[in-house]
Order: sequence, then structure tokens, then C-alpha cells
Amino acid sequence: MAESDAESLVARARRGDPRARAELARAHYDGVYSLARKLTRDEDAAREVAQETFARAFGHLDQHDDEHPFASWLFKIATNYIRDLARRRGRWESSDEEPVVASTPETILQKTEDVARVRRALDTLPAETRAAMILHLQEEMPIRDISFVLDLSENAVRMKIYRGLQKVRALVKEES
Amino acid sequence: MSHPTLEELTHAVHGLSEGPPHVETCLECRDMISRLEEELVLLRRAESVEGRPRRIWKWIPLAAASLMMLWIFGLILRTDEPRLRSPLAPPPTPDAAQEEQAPKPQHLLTVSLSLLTTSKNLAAKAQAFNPKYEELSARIEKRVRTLDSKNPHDREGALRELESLGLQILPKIAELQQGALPAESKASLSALVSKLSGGFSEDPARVSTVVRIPKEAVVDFNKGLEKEGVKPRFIPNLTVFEGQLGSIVAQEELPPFVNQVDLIFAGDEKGFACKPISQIAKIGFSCVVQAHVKDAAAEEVKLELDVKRTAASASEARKVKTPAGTFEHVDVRTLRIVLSPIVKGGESVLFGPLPSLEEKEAFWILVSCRLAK
Repeated sequence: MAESDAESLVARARRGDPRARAELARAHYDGVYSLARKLTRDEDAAREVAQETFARAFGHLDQHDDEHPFASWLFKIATNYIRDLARRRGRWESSDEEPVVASTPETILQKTEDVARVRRALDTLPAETRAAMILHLQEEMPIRDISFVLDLSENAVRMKIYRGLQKVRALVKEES
Repeated sequence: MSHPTLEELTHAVHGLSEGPPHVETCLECRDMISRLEEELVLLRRAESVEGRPRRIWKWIPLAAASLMMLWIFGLILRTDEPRLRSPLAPPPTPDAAQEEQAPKPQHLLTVSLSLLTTSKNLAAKAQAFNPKYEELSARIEKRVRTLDSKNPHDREGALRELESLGLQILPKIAELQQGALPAESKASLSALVSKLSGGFSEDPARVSTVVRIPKEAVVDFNKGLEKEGVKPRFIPNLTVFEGQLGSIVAQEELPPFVNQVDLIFAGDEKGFACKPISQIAKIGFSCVVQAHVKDAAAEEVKLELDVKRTAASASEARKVKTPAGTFEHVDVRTLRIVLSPIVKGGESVLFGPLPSLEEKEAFWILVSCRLAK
């Protein structure tokens, strides 16, 4: 969906147009659910997160800042909600892990082209790094927007993505 | 010549920072870049494989189409029409053929309409006669209270239930919205009202509702209206056979506001006459009625009503000067209302408030139906 279309839908939704709300939910549900599914690793929890995200978003549409895309705002709400749930259960890992230093610089491709193996490696990343990787790889979101979603500085986001990548490379190498 | 590190190249490929200029001229580094780009594609594929919700419903149209095809095929095999009949199907027995041709009992029904124009809230008055209203009212109130629950499932469930109750919730919603409700609940209710009214308005007091008045309360309701000075403008009745299209036209004549001029060339074109003629504008309402008996024992009838209300605009007539005199041009507007109520056991159903064409008072329709035969 083009950014201008999204913003005009948001404006209509703010005025209480139920069709605009339905259209926004249709356009963004998959992305929010997918992020939640990967971060919670649970289909039911992901559905709950997606529902709560849209309920919170539609209840506070006036708080959406047009400077950031609507999708980023939804991801921010979803990530905050998942973070709250995970923190209560002590499962949200946000501390920076030690940098992985490969003995020789290698890309993943030097070891495997197996998608499933790469996915398994991605799934082992700590929650915050995982969120940054999903937004970067799946949503192809600019660093500026990822920094908005995760409440991190742009440099911290760059570092998380690079360290995540290093870890995936190391895990793939280890599994090989 | 020193090559950039894998970290620097990775940053460049992933858009985390600008690529070093050295890459442009170094074949070795360009080779590494293309490997890293392939790695990025692999990572994106790994990310996009899982995580999207399952869309079982996407198969529903295909399944429905398949079922429809099977049904049509079954119908062709079963039909007794010689042209469509399957050679495998047995011929119809004489008894079965006679049974199919036997006429269905035809019911005679009397449909009554009452058209009222008033600024009073007739829905609230009608609800007082509905013995189930208190129960409904409590149910609505309970659901509205759930709208500010922290649990999203509870909130969604409450909204779904309120929506399923339909237009009958509106008077209670209007009452609750005037009281102290959390802002979120008010916003959810406004969105729901807007949805129920097809986007017409989010104000429940402006959206038409439907109230059922039991048979035994209809006389008292009408007496109450009379006491308050609400008199029906038209009370047409029509008796029709089931399925027959009936037409009601109730019109009133208004002072002349449309003029016609006849120009007559008379006497072998030796004279010319100009005759201004005043026309009477007929305004009022017309209605096309069709009734279908669903359950004769329970006096349950489905009505299809297509009502057209025609009226002159409240604004003053425009005066147009022409060589043949001054004419008044009045805006005549028509409002179409399509109703398809199921009326049971001699009850009456009240629809309104409908926007009045005269822009003064709201317009209400009270419908009832009696099985005459």
C-alpha cells in the first residue's frame, strides 16, 4: 500500500470511518501477525498480539505521528506488547550479546544454501535482535523506522543487525 | 592496496552504511559483494517462509464453486423436464406429477401502514410497550461496560454481540452515550453506530431504529400517540394475495406551484391565444407491497415494502420571470425507503426516525399485517 493511501486511510479512520479501519487492518494484519509469530513462536499468542495491536492502535489513532509510517507505528505497538508479556515471564533478552568473532571471515553461503538451516539459526537469536532482523529482512524497513519501532538509536540498530548476522553465520558454520 | 573488511562490506550490502569507494574498482571485492547479496536473498527467503497466518478461507470460494457445480449437476439429473432429464432417471409417476401441479393454498393479507411526522421520540415510547425491552436494555448495558475491558477478546466479543443485535440497540446506546462512559467506549460505540447505519451517521439519535410493538399493546400505543397530539398523516391499507404486487398511493394536493402555459394558434392561424393554467402539485407517498407467509399458524409474514415519499422543499419557491408570466419553481424531492420486516402474531413494527423531506420533523412508519384468509 502506498504511503499516501495509508495516510489518507488513517485520516478517515480517525474520523471514525469503519471501512477505513477495516482496510487498514486488512493491509497490515499479515505483517503484524508475522512479526508476533516469530517473536512469540506461538500461533495463539501471535493472534492475541495482532488483535491487541489493532485494538490499541484504533483506540489511540490520534497518537499516531505522521512522521513515521503507519506500519512502523503498528510494529512498535506490537513489539511493546510482546516485550511487556515476555518481561513478565523473564523471556525478553535485550542485552547486547558478546560479539561473535569468526576465526576466518565467511558468509553463510560458504557453508550452506539450506533455507531451513538458516531459519533455525535466525530463530535462536535473542528477542530484540530477532525483532531487528525481522524488520530489516522481512519488512525491508529503513534503519530510521526500525529505530523508532524498537526505541533504540540508529547505531544500536545497525549493531544489532550486524551482530545477529554474525551469530547466524557462526551457527550455520557450527551446524555444518 | 587494503581491502575492506567483511563487516564493512556486509554493512554496505545491508544498507547499514555507505559502501567504501574501493569496491567500485576492485574485482575481488565486487565478487565478495555479489556473494553477500546472495546471502541477503537467502536470509530474506528464510525470513519469509513462515509466519504468515494460514488463510483457510481463501479456499472457501473454490469449495463453494465446486459444491454449486455438484448441486447443478444433481439438479439436471433429477429434473423432470424432458429436455434436461437424464436418460438414467426413472419417469415421473402420475401421482407425483399431480402433486407437483396442485395449487398451493393462497393466503389473503391486509397490510396497514401508518405514516407519522413528529419531532417526538416515538422509539422510546414504543419500547415502553415491549416486555422484553428491559432484558435487552440490561444486555446492552452489560456489553457496553465490557468495551473498556483490558482483555481484547472481551472487547471484540462485546462489539460483535452489540452488532448482532442490530438497530434495536440504538435508543439505549444514545442514552448511555449521554452518561459517563470512558472515551474509548464512546469511540467504539460511535464507530459501531456508523457501521450499522452504513456510514450515514455515528450519532445514534439520528440513525433509524426498529421497535416491535406486540399485538396487545398496539391499541394503547396508538392511544398514547393521540394523547400527545401525534396524528398519522396517512393510514393506507391494502389487501393482497400472497406474492401479489400491490400498490398504495396516498397523495395530497398542495397549492399550485407549477404553472403551465398553453399557446394556441387558432382560427386558421388568424389568432393566437395564451392560456396560463395552474397545476396542482400532488405530493405524498406511494408504496409497492409484496407479502409472503412464512408460517400461517404463527401469523408470521415477510413483507417487502418499497416506500417513496415525495414532498416540496421547505425553502421558498424560486420565482422565474418569463415573457409568458412569472412562474414559481419549487424543489420537489423524493425519499425512497426499502423495508423488509418479518411481522409476527399481529404485532406492529415501527421504523424511524427517518429524515423528513420538509426538514422540520422526523418521519416514522408503523407497519402491521393481518392474515385475512
